[in-house]
Amino acid sequence: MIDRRALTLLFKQLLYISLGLAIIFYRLLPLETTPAHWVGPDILVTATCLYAIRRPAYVPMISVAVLFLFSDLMLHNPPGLLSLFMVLSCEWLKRRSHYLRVATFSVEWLAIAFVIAVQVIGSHIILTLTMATTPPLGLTSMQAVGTVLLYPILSRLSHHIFGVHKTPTGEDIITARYQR
Amino acid sequence: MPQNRLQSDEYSRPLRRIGQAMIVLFLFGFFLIWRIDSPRVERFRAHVIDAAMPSFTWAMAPVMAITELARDFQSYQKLNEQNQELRRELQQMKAWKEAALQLEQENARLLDLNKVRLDPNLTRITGVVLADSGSPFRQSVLLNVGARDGIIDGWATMDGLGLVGRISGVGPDSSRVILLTDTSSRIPASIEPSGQNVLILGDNTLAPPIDFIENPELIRPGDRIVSSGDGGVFPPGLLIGQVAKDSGGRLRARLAADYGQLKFLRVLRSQSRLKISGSGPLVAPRQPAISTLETRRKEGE
Repeated sequence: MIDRRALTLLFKQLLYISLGLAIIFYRLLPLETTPAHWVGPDILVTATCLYAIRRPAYVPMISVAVLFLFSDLMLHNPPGLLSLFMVLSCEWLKRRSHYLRVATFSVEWLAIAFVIAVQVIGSHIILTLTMATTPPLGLTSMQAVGTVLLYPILSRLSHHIFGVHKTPTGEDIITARYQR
Repeated sequence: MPQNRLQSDEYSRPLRRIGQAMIVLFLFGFFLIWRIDSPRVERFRAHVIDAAMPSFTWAMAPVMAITELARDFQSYQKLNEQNQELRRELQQMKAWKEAALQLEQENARLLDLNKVRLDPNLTRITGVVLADSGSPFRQSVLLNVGARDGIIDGWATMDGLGLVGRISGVGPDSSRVILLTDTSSRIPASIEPSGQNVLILGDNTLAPPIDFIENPELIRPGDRIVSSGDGGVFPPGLLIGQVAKDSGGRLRARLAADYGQLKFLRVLRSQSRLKISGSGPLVAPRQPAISTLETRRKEGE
């Protein structure tokens, strides 16, 4: 007998992956071949952080790793670097998701900002240490600020449109597993 | 039942921990391998892109069409203005066309007189742009021609008018073109009337700066920039653009290729170019002593 809850869980995990693939696909479209003066936020990072806090069970570490490694390869970034940082920060957020669940929104937002700042600074340091070409710091920080600013918009959007609420403690057994 | 789950958790938790540690180590290792043996990982990347792109392309056309429709809709208000401008430009173009036709006839006559045979090595393959780099920090596009069409790393890519970039990364059915605007692009060029050799350094702007100029006084804004063929990077004489001076007084290249509309690109086949067999000859200058020794030895045999 197939457990219905496990089936829903699997479905939601696949939904996350397909959402990520759709975002990567959109970014690959050859719409802009001239260098840009400004950089938009990284929606994939924001969405993954949102998932990690609100629905930790839907973003297992392996799917974050696979999705971001794929995006690193496709988007010509240093392979494995952003995926490494995303995997670590997702775990960090998941471990704190039961604190953040009862905390106010500003605390949650602060946690996201902290995580993204660590990612940007950390990847810049690692790239400099390994003598790889670093992207211009102005553009990366602009992207980081955009990513942080996108978070409240995306969370409001997911709250109203997709019905992803902050689950009160113990409402959902799937997510409850992660609350200990 | 709850107790059951607790027990299973007790067993699965250390396992999960090990799995997580392995994922983290794998990703870090992947990055390190990329730093140590970059060509191999880049080749792997080319194959991944090659495998993944066909499953994307079927959806690309409709999404592109919709997005461009939305953009066009925004520009409806400018349409009238644009129309006037186009009419004016067309008028100018007619004059140019007349001049070009006359020049073409003259050129044909001269070529006939000289019995010039064009270089058969400079044939070309035309590819369609499949995707851009997807990242604001890298300037590259993906073409739908690859190793199966005989594309080789390092070949020059042009649009109808000017040089666009350089092939870097070839998969079976796709290849990546690093544009002149990318931060890793360094192109040896020469400025036309004065004949000075310079480097065009990509810096993620639309007008890459010109550097390593020997005598800046000889260069004036408006001079033509063509590839110089130094170092065997490109065949000489491909048009790159014009010299322009920016507000800071720095000389920049205004590129001839239309970077806003890269749809079809020509890849120039250039045979007998410098073959890159390992990382050694790229860094150190080639040593003629060894090659002469070898030929001598062969002659001795």
